[in-house]
Amino acid sequence: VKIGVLVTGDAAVRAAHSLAAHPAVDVVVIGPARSKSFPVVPDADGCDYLVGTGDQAPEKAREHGVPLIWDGERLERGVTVYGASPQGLTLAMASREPDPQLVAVAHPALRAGGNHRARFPSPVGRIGVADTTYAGQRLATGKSPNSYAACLAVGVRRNVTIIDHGAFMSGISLAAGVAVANSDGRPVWDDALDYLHAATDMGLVMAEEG
Amino acid sequence: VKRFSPLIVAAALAALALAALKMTEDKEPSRTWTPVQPS
Repeated sequence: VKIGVLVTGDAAVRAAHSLAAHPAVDVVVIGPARSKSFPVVPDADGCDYLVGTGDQAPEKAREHGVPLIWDGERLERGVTVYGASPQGLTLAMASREPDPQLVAVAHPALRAGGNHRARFPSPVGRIGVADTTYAGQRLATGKSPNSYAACLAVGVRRNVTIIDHGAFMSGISLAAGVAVANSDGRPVWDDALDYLHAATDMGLVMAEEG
Repeated sequence: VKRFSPLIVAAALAALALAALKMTEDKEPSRTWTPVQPS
């Protein structure tokens, strides 16, 4: 699989490095750009997918005519996988739980929330979260007090989490979207198990309380 | 006997309650997390 990286921010660059570690993936950077680690190419010829972040990424992908793996929360024309973000990772993790009572994510890039407080594993700890929706799914979100991020699903039977450096989590959340890509446009939690396996293979650790 | 304003007393009680809540949070036992594979 050949992946073209749209240089749209830190998460995309980190995703490139996570993808490059996979033996079956070739990574190129779509120019204009400079890279010491990857070939820089002028267009996306020969790429199976592009990865990118932010509002401008779908339009760039359409210009290149290659489907996009994206961190946005909605399906747009030219996007084959969306929700490839810490929020989507949280929803994918929670979708595998039978009875999630609280689905929450804390990240340094998110806004502080004030609806109630959620207790994330250390070093994030107990923080205020806002009850929001992400792609129509219920998700409590809060601002991490430090550089760490955490996904949390609290159930009757067990609690599960993924916690890591926020920027590292964002990069892998995007990169792991490759595991979900096919011809249809869909969110990462539609194929949650493959997505979670890809994310853990790339270095994230999922843990259960107990 | 020196009498304090009810407002001052209320503020002092609120501060004590907040401090107690903070202490309760600080004293919550640290939880143990065990790595698992997605399933």
